[in-house]
Amino acid sequence: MKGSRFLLFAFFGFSVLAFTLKNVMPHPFYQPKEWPKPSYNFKGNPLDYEKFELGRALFYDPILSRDSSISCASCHLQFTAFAHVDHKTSHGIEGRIGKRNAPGLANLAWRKLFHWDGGVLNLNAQAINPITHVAEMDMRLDSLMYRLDRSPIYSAAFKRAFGTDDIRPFHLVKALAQFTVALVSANSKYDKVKRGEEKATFTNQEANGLKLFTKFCASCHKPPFFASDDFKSNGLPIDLELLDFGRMTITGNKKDSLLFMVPTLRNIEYSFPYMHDGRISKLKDVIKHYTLLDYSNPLLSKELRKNPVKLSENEQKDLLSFLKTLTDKTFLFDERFKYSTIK
Amino acid sequence: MKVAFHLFLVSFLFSIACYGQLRIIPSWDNKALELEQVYLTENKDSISFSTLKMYFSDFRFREKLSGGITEIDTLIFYDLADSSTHVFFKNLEISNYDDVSFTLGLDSSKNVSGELENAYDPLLGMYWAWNTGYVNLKLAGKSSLVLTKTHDFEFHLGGYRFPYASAQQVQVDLLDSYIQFELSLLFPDVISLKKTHHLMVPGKEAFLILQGLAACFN
Repeated sequence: MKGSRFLLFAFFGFSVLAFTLKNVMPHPFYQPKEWPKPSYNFKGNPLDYEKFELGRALFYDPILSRDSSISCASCHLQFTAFAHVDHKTSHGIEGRIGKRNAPGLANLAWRKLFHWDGGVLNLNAQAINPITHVAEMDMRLDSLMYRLDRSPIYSAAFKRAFGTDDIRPFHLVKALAQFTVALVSANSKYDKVKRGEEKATFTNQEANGLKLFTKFCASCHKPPFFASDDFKSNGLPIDLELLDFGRMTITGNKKDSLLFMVPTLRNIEYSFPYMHDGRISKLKDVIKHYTLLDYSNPLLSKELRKNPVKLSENEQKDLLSFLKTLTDKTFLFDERFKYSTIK
Repeated sequence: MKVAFHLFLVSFLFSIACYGQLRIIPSWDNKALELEQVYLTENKDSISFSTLKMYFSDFRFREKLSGGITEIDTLIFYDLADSSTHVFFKNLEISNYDDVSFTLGLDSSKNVSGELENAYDPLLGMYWAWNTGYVNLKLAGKSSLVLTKTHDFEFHLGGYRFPYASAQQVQVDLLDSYIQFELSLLFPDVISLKKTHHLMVPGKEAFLILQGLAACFN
């Protein structure tokens, strides 16, 4: 009798806890002051803590890959700005190697285009690519739906989050987007200085770096995201093994050959290696690359041709010092984005 | 040939139990097309089909009496292998209309809408993940015209970007409550399988083939 009373109380307590979590725990997404409105369609996928937790568990779960060996987090590690540290291009199942450097994930709610070639137009649909890509998770969507449906943990979790017994791809990608849209990085030293927070000041070297950044870099890497949805040539010659023509793959337009989307520089200190194919491993060498460019190359982006990057050795150090102020350790070690399973 | 067509017509009319619905009927030489059935082209080359999937959207029906237009802005998925996708507009009195125009495929706004539910469900196999958008029409099969070991051909025809926005406008008279889609007209004039037997990317070729496909309706 006592035992059954205890079970009843435990069940009641658990239900209250679950109800409280769902209704009290705030979704981690937030809109930093002074930032523009997000591009993400929140009406189509309203913020919901339960869906966020489901998306978080899925992000870290290799169940998404054909042989259950690779998760999203395999190439997007939190402490390296959700990029793939020390790997030039992404890795897939069975040791398969992709063509492109897995980009860092941050402030995706403000992006209109995704992937280095901008081939994906919304955050929800983006997840379908790595899941189905033969060089990444190589998973058929129908097989994945079957797998999730057969999992007692996930079928219950989707039921709780979406009220469905019929898990469809749109449920899956909306759950994942609840997690990825939450990855807001807006608490770096740069942000603190911009907000005028007490004790937040640039050193002389960082301040000079910011001036140089504004002069030579900001026309493409636009604050506050230090990125843009534009496609540019930064003078890198084609890799003859990868044969990646970038934006032209999507548009079929020769003018778009070797153009790649301008990536974010937020947390750039931690998201090495760099460039679309990860060919440069050190940030200081990325800066040097721009100082050594052939500015007579007509294929170079017009911003670079108009305003060649001329930096002395010391100025390069100053610029590097500024770029490190874009590191947001609150974001990199945020408990809410760490590995998690369905509770 | 005439007898065959009449047989086809009669059997089809018998098959329609419910008056006031619209069917699209793919055909070969005026007979309802069957998957995996071997047909002969005009030049006596063999051909069979394993896949025929397509989208229709933005229907505009013109009324017989008033000439008024009834617009139905919806996306319809058709799969020859799935009979549940063959009948549309079950509540529409088709006999009240003279003609219908529709889009074979999806326009750019539908392609980029971000919808992934119902007719947009990626499980239907029409979603292009690498380049956000949908295939307007998928056609696959085998033909002696394809000079490879397997004789396979496969076309994923789509693309919504200028200048090769490939969705096509089609207008047909509604003499009956079905629209015929005669595929024998494609070979060899629209699709030369000797030259092209695989096409998976948007562009001029996909655009021209879809243009030819649009002319195969009625």
